[in-house]
Amino acid sequence: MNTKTLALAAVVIIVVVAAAVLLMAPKQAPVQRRILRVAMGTDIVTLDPHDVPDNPSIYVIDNIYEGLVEYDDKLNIKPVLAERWEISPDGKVYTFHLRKGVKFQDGTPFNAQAVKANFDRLFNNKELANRNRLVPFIDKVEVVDDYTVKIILKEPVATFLNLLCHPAGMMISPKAIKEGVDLKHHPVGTGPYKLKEWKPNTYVELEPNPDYWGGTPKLAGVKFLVVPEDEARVQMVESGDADVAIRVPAIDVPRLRKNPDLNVNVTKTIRIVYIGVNMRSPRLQDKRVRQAISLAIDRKAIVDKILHGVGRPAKSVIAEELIGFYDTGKLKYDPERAKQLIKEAGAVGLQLNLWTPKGRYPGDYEAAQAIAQYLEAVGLKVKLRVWEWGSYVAELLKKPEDASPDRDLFLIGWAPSTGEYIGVFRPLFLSESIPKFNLWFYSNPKVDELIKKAEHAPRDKIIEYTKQIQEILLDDLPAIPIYNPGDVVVYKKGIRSLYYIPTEVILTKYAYFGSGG
Amino acid sequence: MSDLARYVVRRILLAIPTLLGVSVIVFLMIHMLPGDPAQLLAPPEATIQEVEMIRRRLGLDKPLWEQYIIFMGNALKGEFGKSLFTGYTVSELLWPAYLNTLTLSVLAMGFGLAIGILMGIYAALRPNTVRDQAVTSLSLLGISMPVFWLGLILIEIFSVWLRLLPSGGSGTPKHLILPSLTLGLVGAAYVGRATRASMLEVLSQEYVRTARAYGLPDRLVVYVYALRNALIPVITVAGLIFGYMMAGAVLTETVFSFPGLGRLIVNAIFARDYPVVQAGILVVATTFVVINTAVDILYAFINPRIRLG
Amino acid sequence: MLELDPATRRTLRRAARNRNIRVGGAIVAVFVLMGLLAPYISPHDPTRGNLRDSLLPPSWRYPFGTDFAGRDVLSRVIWGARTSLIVSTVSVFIAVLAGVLVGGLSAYIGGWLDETVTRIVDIMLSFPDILLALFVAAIVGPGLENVILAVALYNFPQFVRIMRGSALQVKEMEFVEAARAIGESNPSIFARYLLPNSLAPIVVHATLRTAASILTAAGLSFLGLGVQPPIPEWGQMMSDARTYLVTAPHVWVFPGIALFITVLGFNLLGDGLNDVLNPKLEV
Repeated sequence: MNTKTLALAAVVIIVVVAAAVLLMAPKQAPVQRRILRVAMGTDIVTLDPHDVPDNPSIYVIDNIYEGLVEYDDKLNIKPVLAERWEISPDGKVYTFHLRKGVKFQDGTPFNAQAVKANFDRLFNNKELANRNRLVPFIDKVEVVDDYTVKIILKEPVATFLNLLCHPAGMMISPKAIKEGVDLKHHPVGTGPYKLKEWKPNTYVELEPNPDYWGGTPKLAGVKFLVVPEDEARVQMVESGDADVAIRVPAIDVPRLRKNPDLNVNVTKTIRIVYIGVNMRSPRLQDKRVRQAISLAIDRKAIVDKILHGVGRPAKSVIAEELIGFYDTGKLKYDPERAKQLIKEAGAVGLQLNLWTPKGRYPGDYEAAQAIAQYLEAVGLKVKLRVWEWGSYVAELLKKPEDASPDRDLFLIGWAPSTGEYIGVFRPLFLSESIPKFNLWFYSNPKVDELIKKAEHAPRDKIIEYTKQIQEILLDDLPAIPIYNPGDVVVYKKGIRSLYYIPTEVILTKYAYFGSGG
Repeated sequence: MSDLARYVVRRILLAIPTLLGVSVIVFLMIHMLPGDPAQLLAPPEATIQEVEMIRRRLGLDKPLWEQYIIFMGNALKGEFGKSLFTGYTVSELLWPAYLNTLTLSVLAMGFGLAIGILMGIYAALRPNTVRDQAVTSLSLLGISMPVFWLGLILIEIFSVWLRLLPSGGSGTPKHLILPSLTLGLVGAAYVGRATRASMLEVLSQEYVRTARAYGLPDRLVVYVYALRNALIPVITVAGLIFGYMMAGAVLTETVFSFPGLGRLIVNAIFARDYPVVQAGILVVATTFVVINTAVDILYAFINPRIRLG
Repeated sequence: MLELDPATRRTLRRAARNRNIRVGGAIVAVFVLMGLLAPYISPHDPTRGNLRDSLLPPSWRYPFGTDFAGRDVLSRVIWGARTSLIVSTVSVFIAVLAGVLVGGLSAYIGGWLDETVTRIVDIMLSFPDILLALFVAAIVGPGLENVILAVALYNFPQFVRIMRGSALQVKEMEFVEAARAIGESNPSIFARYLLPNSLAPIVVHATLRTAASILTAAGLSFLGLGVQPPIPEWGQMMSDARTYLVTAPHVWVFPGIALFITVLGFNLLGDGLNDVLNPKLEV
């Protein structure tokens, strides 16, 4: 008797608790213009486009701010706040004709003075993280009339329009700049959506900008949810708790493809993941050891087994999509040759440290472990260390003289947020980028000279210089390119015009809910 | 002053040195780390001037005891400085996470008490029978269960196979079910053991046997007389478990990517966001001490004998 | 040499009959053997696999399947026992040693020293287990030695408290008073009376704390703050396998089972020893 009562009581209590919890769940009201809910992995850092260090912040900023021009999903340049432009024959003067009738979200009109105010901000604030994307190339900015502005370059830059597509080229309300508004938290742009609430580590919610020049936005809002666990993001789209999931694990692709309610978009990116080499490490002075490391790694196996086919083996230090890409054919898998090189260099049993972050790039931690196995297979010894991203960056950005003596090999990725080659060569391989992003402490006067020539070459001459640069870099190997990860975005069928820019940015500002699949 | 009041005052006074000690340890943390504390408490991209500003603001150039007073003064005002990476103040990050963990622990405790007490009684009513052994074994299994493994299993069952509940995240009450069940089941094992032991002791006592001998209905004896007394020690256990849940929730929170305090602390450790680590640990440890004190006081209210001890 | 007194012999006989001790002891023995013999019994290299064989389901060649790097999960589970064995025994041993010394001395000397030690122990105990371990990890960073340190530190105050408690009882007993009266030295009294009489609760507690320590160490690794790859560790194996939760459950199921059973073994053994050594608690 007692037993049954007790068991019954237990069941009743559990059911009541569970039911209460379930009933408390808010009901979804059926509305036409819905909020687009995007599940992303990490919280944003800032809403100031001129100071943004990470992609999630760009996802959000792209809805609030606009630049003169922007990239489409094929990295073509599209007019936005500039309706059209002319480039002087010497390639130094860019004249932009601005769109009329555009207002910032605080009511300030957008015009040539506003453009000038933004460039002044970049010129005058040395602490803005992204000012060097544009400032080093620009001589001055001139207001011609209310809707015409001239940007005069110090020297011609073939990819200047590409550079302008970067968030550093986005337009902030001059009134907000003047009044010293905290732009990190209170953005004022011209875009279709404006900030409603940023709840740290939880979500960022945007609401429509009713005065948008391009007409009323098609969504009731955009809500970026911070969901760090990959599995959880997938689950949320499957269960309807989110409409879009970013950075979905590749291993889930086959399963998700079978779901009739979902679109699975496997995208290409222009990111290259390298094994960086500390060129000042006493253990890595012999070029043959670096070449052996490169030959020891089966890049295809890493792409197949760790990235599950979402990505490509790297062919060079820059991605195939970029202007100036050249395949030297040097990145091969040849363990026998690697063994031989190691023997010749007298490096059998050489102990090397290999560092990696975890979860920063697709497959980073797993790939590092696989690479350690490959290096041990050709006669090296590897000590692996997993770093937390924040401290990893802090360590890697140290000056050569302060850097840890244990720095040998380190896994690091780079995607030029400007979407072009200067954004790779200049920060990563120029001598003067030590101690910034030239993490390998690589200094080669020949390469420096070629990079500078490539920057100012006319478009059809770029490849002449970049070909030489790539030949040298893949022989010296300060950074050993390993793979070019893809990205997986999963979204509900019926969502239209959701674009993925290969600079690893999901563009939500044009998206809308269509009917049916 | 009554005995009880005196006990309560004494117990509260006793908690104060413990809390001070906790705060000293947390305060010293930044000094135990290798490197310059001001540098550690400054954002990575901070300029030399900014680092100096932090040094002055926190008095890091002053003697240690003075720094401690500044630290405590700020802490008592709820000011833990700014997070180094998110641009938010520590309190803005801390309190929502705290609330989440509190909700999770309360729900888990609900599960734990409901299941544990019922199991304990169930076992104690027929000691040394198969069902008692089954319950005893089950609770031992529960105690030995790695909570993160249990979480993974529950995800596999409820999220992957049955597709009933989300495997992670937060926001709706649905997201609370699996994490609180995971945490609660382990709690239930401890509560079950405690209930069984205390119930057995009570049932073997004279007055219960007498009541039974007088022919009072079994149910009345068990649920009214025995249970009331048997639950007294269970309260202590429950209080302890609740404190451990608040802290131990970190593993459960990680499995279910639940934005609680434990996760906040772990992520902050990874990011070397020391102001957040300090504040987080201080808050959890303080909660733990407060709960223990409260349980002791509650216990004294219910069981007058303790006050004399 | 093996002339045991009747009381000890009785205890041993009771221990041999106790089911918890038998089952728990057997599990613990298997675990210890697995840890000691790992290099001889594991079929493959636990740290080196073939990427081409990644995430294979269980088969004859790989009874527990392979992980993402193509490493044999069975071998990693076996070597994981070794890691757990090292972490738990070393850290508990340090904690017992330090706890016995500090607790014993504190009780024996008394006065302000005892007062201070008690206060510090109270403060340490007001940091819940895992939080103290996290605290240590935050300061010293991850790694095998640091996990041992963290786990030892969180066990330490418990042994101080136990040792102090039982030493306080023994201290007042007549035979100790007598020994002191006839001028026996302090270290000798400590070794001959205080220590042996506190042994039973220490042993029981050490067994139970081993179980908890294995869990905590695995938990730290699960959080990424523990033993670093490629050293095989159960908690870390489970953490790594979360990406393959659905597609390759074998990668997290087997280390979980190993961890669960091992902890269960120590808990059973501890419960059993408690029954035998503290008979008054038996119902």
